[in-house]
Amino acid sequence: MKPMRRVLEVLGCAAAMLIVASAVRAHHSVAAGFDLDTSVTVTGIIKEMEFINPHARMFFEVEGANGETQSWTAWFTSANNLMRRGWRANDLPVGAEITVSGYPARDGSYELYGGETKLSDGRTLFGGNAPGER
Amino acid sequence: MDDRYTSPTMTTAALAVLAIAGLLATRPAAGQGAGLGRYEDSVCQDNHHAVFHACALEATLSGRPARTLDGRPDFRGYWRRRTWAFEDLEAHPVTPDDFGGPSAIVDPPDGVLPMQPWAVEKSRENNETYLHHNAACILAGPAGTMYMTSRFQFLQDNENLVMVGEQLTAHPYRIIPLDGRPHIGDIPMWNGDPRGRWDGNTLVIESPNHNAKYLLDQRGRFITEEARIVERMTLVDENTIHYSATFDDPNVYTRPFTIAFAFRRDTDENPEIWEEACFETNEDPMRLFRNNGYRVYPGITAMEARALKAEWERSQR
Repeated sequence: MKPMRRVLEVLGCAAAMLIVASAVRAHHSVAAGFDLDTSVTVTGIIKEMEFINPHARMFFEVEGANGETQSWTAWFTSANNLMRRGWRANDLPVGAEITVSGYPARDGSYELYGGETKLSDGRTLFGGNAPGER
Repeated sequence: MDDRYTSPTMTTAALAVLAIAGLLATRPAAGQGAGLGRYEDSVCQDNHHAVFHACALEATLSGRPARTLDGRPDFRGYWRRRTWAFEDLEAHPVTPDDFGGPSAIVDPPDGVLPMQPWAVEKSRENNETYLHHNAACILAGPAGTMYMTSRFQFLQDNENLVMVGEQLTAHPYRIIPLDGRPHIGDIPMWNGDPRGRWDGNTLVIESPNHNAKYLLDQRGRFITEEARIVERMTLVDENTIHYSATFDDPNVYTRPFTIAFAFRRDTDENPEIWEEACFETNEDPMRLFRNNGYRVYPGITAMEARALKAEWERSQR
């Protein structure tokens, strides 16, 4: 297995991983669970990709700052939307490296609502909500 | 004035809003559809609901819609709704949480919901306390389904119009009997008890016995189970449906209000409605929502609404 690597960038927030719940404006399902004022980018190794509805999800392992293994979940838009965009199961095999950018969970768990998703072959797919699909 | 509505707060018509909106609105080119998919051009621009509504009312007067074998306007095909009203019925900006858009409210003409003051407060409380029903994969109500769901296939014969939807509200379907049969009655249903009738080239749908346990938008706006909802659907041209819904609920509003928007024929290659089993992963997102203190909106009965209104009025003395 390739070594796990973790890259964490928090944009617009000084302290990485100090995920502070933003002011309540959670009228959407995404905003109710994820902090839309903060972005996070995480790189890890795919354990499983589930093409399911209403939100597809990917389980992946990330190496933490102290070398520990963190089990992350990336949530995406629906499997139907991903399929119509051209996502395919073969693009996301178990064991492949993946980099996902998105909004972190408001409760501090290792979860994010994924937007741009960079595959190990350099392609970038979009996993968030797009106006044409909602 | 309808004397069932007792609140004195009545907004006046703001015709200038329509005029300015008409100047600002631009007609989307064929195939662009303002980011909402692929569409053919329409005789009415549809990126401002009030402008579209005014244009559609004119256009349908002289229109000759395609017809089914029994001579009724033919709504069959694949359609996409053209509004973000589920975020906010009123005009709202683009944010990380919203796609934004103009007000879906065409009456009153100022595009502002005629809510009673206590109900404005209740909406704020709803927004801070409750999840919008789509987060819990719950149906959106008869009219809400039409602006919540993105993709539709309409099937039609002389007895029924069947609307099969995909996306955002529990894989919804609506079956609208067109043959004059009576309502089922008595059973409160999420999407009501619909019956359709023809008013010339317009299909008029009434759906009593809805349970009103859904929010009207993601700003916490609501109705009670006593609300009368009248939907109207008319073909503007081959690829455009003019849809409107009038909500009449004196428990919550100072007067009836009407929303309107377009459905455009989906011209993607080989359009198809797919299963979207909204329950597959929803227990996990619900855990996140509960961890953040949110609950599923329980609805409000007409009796509860009247009690809240009376309590609010006492507090204002």
